[in-house]
Amino acid sequence: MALLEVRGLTTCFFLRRGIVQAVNDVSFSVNTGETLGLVGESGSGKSITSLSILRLVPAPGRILSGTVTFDGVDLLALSEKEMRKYRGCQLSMILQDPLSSLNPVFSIGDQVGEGIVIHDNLKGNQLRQRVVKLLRWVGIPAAEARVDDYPHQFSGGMRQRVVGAVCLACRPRFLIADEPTTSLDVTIQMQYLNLLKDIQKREQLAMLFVTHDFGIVAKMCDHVAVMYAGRIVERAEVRAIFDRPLHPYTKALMSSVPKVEERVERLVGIEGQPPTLLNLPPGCSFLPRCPEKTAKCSSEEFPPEIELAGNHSVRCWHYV
Amino acid sequence: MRVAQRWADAADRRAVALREIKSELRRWPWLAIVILAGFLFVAAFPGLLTPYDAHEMNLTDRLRPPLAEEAGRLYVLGTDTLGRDLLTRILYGARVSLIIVGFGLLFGGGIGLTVGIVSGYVGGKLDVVLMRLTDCFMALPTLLIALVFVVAVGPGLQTLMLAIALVVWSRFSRIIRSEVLMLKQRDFVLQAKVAGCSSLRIMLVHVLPNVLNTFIVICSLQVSQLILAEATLSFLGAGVPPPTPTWGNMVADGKDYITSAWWIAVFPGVALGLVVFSFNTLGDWLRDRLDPKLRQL
Amino acid sequence: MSEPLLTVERLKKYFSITKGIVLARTIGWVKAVDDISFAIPPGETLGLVGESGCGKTTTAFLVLQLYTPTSGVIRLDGVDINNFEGQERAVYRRSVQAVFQDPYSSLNPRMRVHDIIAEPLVVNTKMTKGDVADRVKEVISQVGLPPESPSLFPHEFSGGQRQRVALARALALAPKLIVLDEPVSGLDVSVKAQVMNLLKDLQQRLGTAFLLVAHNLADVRYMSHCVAVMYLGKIVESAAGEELFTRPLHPYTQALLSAALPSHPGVQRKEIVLSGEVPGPVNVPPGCRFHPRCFKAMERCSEEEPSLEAVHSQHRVACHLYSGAGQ
Repeated sequence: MALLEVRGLTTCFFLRRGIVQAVNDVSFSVNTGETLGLVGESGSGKSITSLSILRLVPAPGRILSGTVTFDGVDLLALSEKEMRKYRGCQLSMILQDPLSSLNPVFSIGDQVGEGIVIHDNLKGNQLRQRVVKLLRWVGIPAAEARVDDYPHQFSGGMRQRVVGAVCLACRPRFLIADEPTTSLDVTIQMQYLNLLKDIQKREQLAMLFVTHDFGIVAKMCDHVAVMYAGRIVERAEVRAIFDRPLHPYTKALMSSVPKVEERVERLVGIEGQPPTLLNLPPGCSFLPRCPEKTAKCSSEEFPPEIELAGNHSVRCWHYV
Repeated sequence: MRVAQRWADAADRRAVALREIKSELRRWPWLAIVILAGFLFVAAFPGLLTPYDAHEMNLTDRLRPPLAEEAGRLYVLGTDTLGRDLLTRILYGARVSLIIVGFGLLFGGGIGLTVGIVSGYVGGKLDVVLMRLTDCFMALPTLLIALVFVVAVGPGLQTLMLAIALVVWSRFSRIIRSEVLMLKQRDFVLQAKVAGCSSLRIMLVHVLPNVLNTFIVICSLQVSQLILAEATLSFLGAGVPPPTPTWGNMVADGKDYITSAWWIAVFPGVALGLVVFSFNTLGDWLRDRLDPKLRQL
Repeated sequence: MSEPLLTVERLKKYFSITKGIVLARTIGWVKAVDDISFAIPPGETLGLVGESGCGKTTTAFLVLQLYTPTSGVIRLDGVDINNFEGQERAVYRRSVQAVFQDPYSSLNPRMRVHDIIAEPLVVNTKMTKGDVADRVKEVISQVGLPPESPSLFPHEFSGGQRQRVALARALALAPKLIVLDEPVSGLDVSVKAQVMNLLKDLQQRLGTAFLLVAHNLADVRYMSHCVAVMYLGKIVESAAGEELFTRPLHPYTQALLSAALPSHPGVQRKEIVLSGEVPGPVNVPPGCRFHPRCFKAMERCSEEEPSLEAVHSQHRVACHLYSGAGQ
């Protein structure tokens, strides 16, 4: 049974210049103990999707429609007060920049403990012990001694682990990670991703990994959803996406990435730029850049979702 | 058919553009802008709004209240202790305020801008020395220095302008310097070095245009300080000597007559208040408009 | 074997750590670059890889003459560039240009694209306005930007297009070498591919050499003819072409390659986990700098620093495992 199920999620930003449809009729689900990778370039709407799940979309954005069902409860229908009981406690999110995710004037012990204080109401020594245990858990060396240190006294990789501890303090069941390794070195990134995988196995966490990097998808994810211009254009298990990509965008994206294991003669790349989401024209949004367009594609409607064998779905006129 | 379509599109685009301009203009601080425009106009052409002379004394018409009519002369805001028309004096007083502000910003702001840019960009020992200098000058209260100056040199418009400019520059240099320190880190400065630009060229072409926004904002916020400084000094008797009308002078003259001829002190005070408020509002608005965009770019 | 375009010999850059403001005392040194040597053949790309603190960016700045070396020689076409004065410096500038990482910070927001690209020409040559304008148009089309670009401002372009503007500026003087400091790190996947292809095409057409500083090994493999791996200010391994990727010798290189993200979920790789973190360039470990974290460390490694020796043909390693194994 899926722990998190998103159906028909639509989030728009209402600007003076027009409407930005950041997330347009997005549906996917994540099972306990599994990781879904949400892949897309900038402007695809993947970050807004994760913010929408936690109902943290900044103004002038608003979630217009859809349901986000977590363990049977529709999060979008809750009041803000009820939602706060879920945030941090049942669902949590790791952001991209560890430098700005941590408050420089509070010790890491205080920040890791904040969530515990709010949700579990621990105090004093009990709180401190739990915090130290958490820091050890995420691999901070000499945790007992460093619990009162400040963020600037840690390296980037360590800081990102502290952020991990902050997010996992209340043992959430669902974790969203939004490009958490962008600023990390290669070897540190590997250690961090391994740590996340470890924690997932131990806690049976459901994870949503938001990224633009297919390498991360290959390493971390069980299922993949590819986003373009606010919509999910392809969804499949990770092997299927790599071995048999169906949507032209997915195919083009995969051949735009150089490999470290073998020599690539020529990267293909995609012409043009990702579209602005302001006042998107109707019809397939990938059409202007698509290397495989046909006469069928000039329809005024966006292609519906077609489900193929092995849980592989795609939104492309070629398969209708 | 195609031509008609193009026409319709063009008309459509014009309508959208018009709408955008209108909504943009709606968010401007119109009250402040109108007041300031009035201030500038009045300071430039005071003679257009009043038939009277600022120094013309009519001792028989002393201390007349606002809207008094005497022998065919209408005193809109009343007269002062020497029978001079208050409105005329207020209008001419605006000119003095404007001169002080203009000179203070030009001279003081110019020095502050240069010191800030050089200190921030060149760094090292020069930076340390210039910043300590700035600290010294910043610690000096404008009024005190002006007073000392005037006592030493003698009162006058020039002395006042010099004194104010000498202190005001330090208010600019520190803030400009921190902007420059941030700019120095931007890659385009590095690129200019790679291209072989001299330090002077980098400071003029790359640094200066990018700190102008901040400079303008500080200017608009300093203006009210400058006007008030002049007013206070004139009030204390260390400013522009009579008979030149300045708002500060006029408030000083009127302070002994608050109960009997309140208009002598109140109207210049109102003028001061309006102009200072408008500059502050404009400064705040400019800062909101110019600075955040700068960060995004 | 043609003469190398750029050679770097025993280059060192130490930054002093001082205490006190008025009477500054030197209390230590940050050895950012500590005795490195490499060569770039004309028209080819040398990839310089390493993690933060390895000194690759400092090396790039040294080549660009933004820093003065503490010791060591940099030669362009055989001539020592440190002896350049005035005019000769200008000649060097025309031969070596740069493109930096952040497309949002490398263009002056207050200048039009035309002026941005024209600046190196204005500062270094006596070309007439008309000639400058023609050259600007020429490089604009070389990098694939629309012809109306020169009159626009940077904020009217996307990240990928801004990098093209930066590239156009670097090409304006027709340099022999362009230093690329993480030129595609901040770009989207599809745009990255476009820019990397553009760089390769330009290299083919114009014969420009590149010094590519990057941390993404897949990008480096795609773009480089030879690769050098840096750790804490030293080059630990360097090899031509595919050799480094197919036969990594130094333990650090092996660890780096094992940590790189896989290109397919089915990729089986033995993961090498390095203990600890990179020590800062102030507290450099004695002997081999990598030995505290090395999974193949021997006793000799903590006492003696290995030198960069050729193992065979172009492949050099600084590691006691291979000392004396040269041809």
